[in-house]
Amino acid sequence: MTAAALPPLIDARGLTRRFGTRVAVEDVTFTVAAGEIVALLGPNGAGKTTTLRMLAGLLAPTSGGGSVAGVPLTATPDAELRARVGLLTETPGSWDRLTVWTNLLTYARLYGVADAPGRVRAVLDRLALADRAGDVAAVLSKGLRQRVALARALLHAPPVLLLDEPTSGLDPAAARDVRRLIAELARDGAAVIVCTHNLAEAEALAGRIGILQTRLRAFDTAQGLGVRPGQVTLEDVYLAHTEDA
Amino acid sequence: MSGASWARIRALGGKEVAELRAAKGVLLGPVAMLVTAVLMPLVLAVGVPAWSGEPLDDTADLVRLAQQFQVPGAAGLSDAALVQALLLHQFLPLMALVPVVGAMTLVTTAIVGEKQARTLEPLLATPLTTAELLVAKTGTAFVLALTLLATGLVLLIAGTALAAAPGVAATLVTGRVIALVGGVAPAASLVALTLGAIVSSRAKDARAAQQAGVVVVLPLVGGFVAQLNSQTAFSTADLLLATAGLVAVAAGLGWVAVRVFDRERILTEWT
Repeated sequence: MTAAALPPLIDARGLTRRFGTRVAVEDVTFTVAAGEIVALLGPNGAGKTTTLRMLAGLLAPTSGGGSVAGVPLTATPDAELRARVGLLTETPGSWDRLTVWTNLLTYARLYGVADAPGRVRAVLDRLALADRAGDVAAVLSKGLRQRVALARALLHAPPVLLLDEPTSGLDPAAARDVRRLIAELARDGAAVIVCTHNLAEAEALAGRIGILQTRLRAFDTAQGLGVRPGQVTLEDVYLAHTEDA
Repeated sequence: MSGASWARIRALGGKEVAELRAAKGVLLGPVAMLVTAVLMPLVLAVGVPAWSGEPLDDTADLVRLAQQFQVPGAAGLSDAALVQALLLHQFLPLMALVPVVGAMTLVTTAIVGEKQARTLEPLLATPLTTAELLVAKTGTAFVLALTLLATGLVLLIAGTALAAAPGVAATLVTGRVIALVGGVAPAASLVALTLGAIVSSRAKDARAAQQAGVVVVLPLVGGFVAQLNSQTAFSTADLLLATAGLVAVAAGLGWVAVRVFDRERILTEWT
């Protein structure tokens, strides 16, 4: 069975979010199955982060709904939904004065992880951060901070991962490591959405790609979107869907 | 609240303490207030007469005032001791301000600090509820503010026992004093905390949020001045009534704090 054939872990139906009179996201519908990676592309302000926040239970949809990991998306997002989602925010958001260990241990406890210290050690090992556990977050490079943020999103082994620009600002080697990790996590069964401006990354990583500009302009595999090696690039497709807006 | 709720509150509370340990400068203001509340009455009641060579009972007006003030537990004290007790008691409301200033400083820093450091989004993405978040932040600040108050009181009593006339220290361990520092001060601190939480959820700067503390500090200072002017002290019953009133106000403000802490607005304006 292919990933897309599995029951969807993310089921967004007509998601719409308004801020006053401004429509940030309108009528967005798509699904993501367990083990699948979906890339969400779109210009700045296209509604990618707002979509992730609705799926993460941080923002309530103005209308529309669906479910995430079996929890309905409602007008009053609850803690149960947030417990089943790992969210990598656009900014790392670590507590700078605290060590990597204390940062992660606090989050493990906030997520109610059993054997929190053991789980933190395991995640630190997986992200090759064990030797930086005692460092305060303030002294870490941007790449390391991003890895710590990713570690934080993985602490409670969520079935759904929502990653907002996970490789933004990382050097090529660090970005490659993060992409490998994301692929591993999907192989382990997580449903993953990656918001990115990096089209090559989206094409390499994701099984399906969504192009968002308030509305979901397109959502398919690269081939289904019309990408043809040597003839039509993802950039061509992306620009065709976003430049007319 | 469930066991899971308390576990999350403890986790965030522990993080607050760890951050304070790493940024001790935040405590500078409250500690300065504590030192002032301990030293000022001792210097006036014990230091100045000793350094000037003019015993307190040389001033008839002061002795008369001390007799009128009816310091609790002061029966049988000499005139000089009575005046010392009067001065120490007159400055006790200053001690009551220690947990108020401490609580306000700590809670506004804890909430506005998260907003300014852009650390709120991952925190709000956890199962932590708004009530849990506010209980963790205000609860930690409350415990630390009470620790400051207890430290100040112990230092004041110890300093009085060591430096003042015999029997004066005992007047600091009476029902009225306990009602003030064990009732009014913590209750006022709770009001400051809940008010701080409300203002912090809207304020963009911790200092701006702290200014709201004036609402709590001013009535306490007013009580302090009224006590000086009326040459009498609030009774234990007055203080217990004030405590009950303040607890009721704090409960109301706490209810408001949870409702005005708009997670969505904070997310969209601060991240």
